[in-house]
This record gives sequence, C-alpha cells and structure tokens, in this order.
Amino acid sequence: MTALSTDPGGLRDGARTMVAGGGDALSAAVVVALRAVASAAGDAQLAEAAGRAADRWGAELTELEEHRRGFVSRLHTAGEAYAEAEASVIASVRRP
Amino acid sequence: MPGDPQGLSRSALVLARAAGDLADQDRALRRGSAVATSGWLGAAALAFDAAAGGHAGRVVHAQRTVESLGAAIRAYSTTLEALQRRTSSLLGRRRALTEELRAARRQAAAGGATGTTAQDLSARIRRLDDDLEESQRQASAARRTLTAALDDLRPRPTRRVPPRPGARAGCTSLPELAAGGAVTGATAWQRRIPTVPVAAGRRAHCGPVRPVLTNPFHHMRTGPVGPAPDESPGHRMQTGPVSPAPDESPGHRMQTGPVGPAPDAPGRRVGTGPVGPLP
Repeated sequence: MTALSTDPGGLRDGARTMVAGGGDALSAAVVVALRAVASAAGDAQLAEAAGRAADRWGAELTELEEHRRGFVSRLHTAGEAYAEAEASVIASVRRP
Repeated sequence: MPGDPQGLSRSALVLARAAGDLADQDRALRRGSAVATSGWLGAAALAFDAAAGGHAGRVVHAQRTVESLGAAIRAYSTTLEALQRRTSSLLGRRRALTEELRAARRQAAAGGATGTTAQDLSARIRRLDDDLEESQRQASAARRTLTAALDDLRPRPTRRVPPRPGARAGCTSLPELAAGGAVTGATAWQRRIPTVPVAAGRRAHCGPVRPVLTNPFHHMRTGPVGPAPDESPGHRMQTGPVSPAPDESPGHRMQTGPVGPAPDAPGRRVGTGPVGPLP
C-alpha cells in the first residue's frame, strides 16, 4: 500500500486537536497528591506504598506526556512536509 | 488513631481531577488522530495509526487506574474519619466511666455499699475496650486494603513487538490485526477498512479483507457447495444461510440451515437439518 492521498491541512488540524487535550501539569499534580497521601497516611507501610505509587505514576504520566507531544510534533511535521511536496509539484508542472 | 482524613480527601480529589484530564486527553487524541488520518493513506498513515492506538490504550488504562486510586484513597479517608470519630467518642466515655469507677471505689473504701456499681462500671469499661480494639482492627484492615491498592494499581506494562523478519512497511499480519494494532496490542483503533476489489481475491494482499461475493443470487452458503451455474466446481467454500437453488436437482448434496417446503409438494412438510431426496 504505497499510494499517497494526503490533506496537509487535515494533519495540522489533527495536531491542533491533540494539543487541545492539555495535560501538561498532570504528572506533577498526581505526584504531589500521592506524596501528600504518604504524609497524611499515619502509617509507615502505607506511606511507603504511596511513595512507590508516586514514583511509578510520575514516570508513567511523564512518558505519556512525552509521547503525546511526539505525536503532535510528528503530525505537524508530516503536514508541513506534505504541504511542501505539494507546492513543489505544483510549481514544477506550472513551469513552461 | 493516626492519619489526616482531610489531607487524604484533598489528594483523592486531585487524583479524580487528574483522571478527568486524562479522559480529556484521550478524547483529544482520538479526535485529532481521526481528523489527521481521514485523508491520509499509505505506510506512514498506518504506522501512525497503530502507534497512536497503542498510546491511546495506555492513556485509557492510566485514566481508569488513577480514578481507581482516587476512589481507594477517598474510601480510606472516609473510613478513617469515621473510625477516628468513633474512637474519640469511645475514649471520652471510657474516661468518664473511669472517673466514676474511681469515685465508686473511694466511696466503697469510705464504707459505702457500692460493690455492684463498681463491678458494673468495670464491665462497661471492658466493653468499651473491646469496641476500641475493634476500631483499631478496622483501621488496620482499611490501611492494608489501601496499601494493596497503591501497589496493585500500576501503569500498563509496555509491550514491544519485535520486528518481523522481512516485514515491509504498510503490511500488517492477521495476528497483529486481531491483537488490535501493529505496534502494540492496545485498544482497537477505529479506522475504516478499505474495500478490496473482487479481482484481488486471487492475490495475496496486506491489511483487512472483506468477503468477496461472487454468488449470482448474493447468498452466502455453508459447507461444500456444488457448482453454481456460472462458476467452475469446487473452487471455494462459502458460509451463511442456504437458499434452495432453483436450477439444481435436490438430493445431490447435504444442506444446512432452514429448509422450506419443496416446490413440487406444497404444505406436505417442513424439514430442518440435512434433507434427503424428495420422493
């Protein structure tokens, strides 16, 4: 399947829609909340478990955020690249 | 009884909000990917779609798990608050009863007849001690439950599919399709299945496949079928309900599915299952 039929504007719209989902401070908020659980727990074992959960979820949500930014960036790049290719083809066929 | 229920409630609220944000992110990701790939075909579109599908699966898992974490912390906070109130009340009553008991003992020592009252007060204090112990047990059980939830509610482990030898870009094997995507086995991603032209039936091809209908009556059949009027015999198996072919003589084959009355014997019988030749 090597055919190419692409709307560069659609790719850039897709990137903008993904950005609208937000979530930049999500990882930090979850880590702070779980660390607060650790200090409010009143029990050593429970506090340790909350600390482990904070580390684990901090890493996961940071990675998810990086991936999301990556998807947005790749969509945007693809949109730009296809738009440039399209413009180049149009310019070349219009030349005498 | 140690612990800060208000602090725990605030944390639970933050986690519930975070789960809501993750749900928003998932929706934006799906909408964005749908907008982007609606007019995008080819290997890059397939690769992007599969990777975005895997990512969306992780986001959905994170959203549900963070929500569950928030619910577990809220439940613990509610239980802890109730047990702290109960413990405080029990301790207050115990202090009062202890004072009464001391007074009764002083009165008894002074020559008053308060033996029964002292015994009664001691019994009531023992019952309060039992209640306090029960509250402690309940608090320990709630702590263990939350500790287990914090350890068990984990992010989804990432599964990397090794590249297939000789794999070409844009080709997705059937097991990978069944697993939901080429990159990870995450949530099935909504993507239109391209229509395969009838002529493609004789070629190997990549991607999902639609059934190719060549029966002139547009019916699907089950089991080995005899030659259709315009087809060479025995070239394919077909599935689906069976309708009697008007131009074939009965009795030459087994049929499955509902069978109607034979055209030459109306109303004489209605047969089900395999049928033999009509008399």
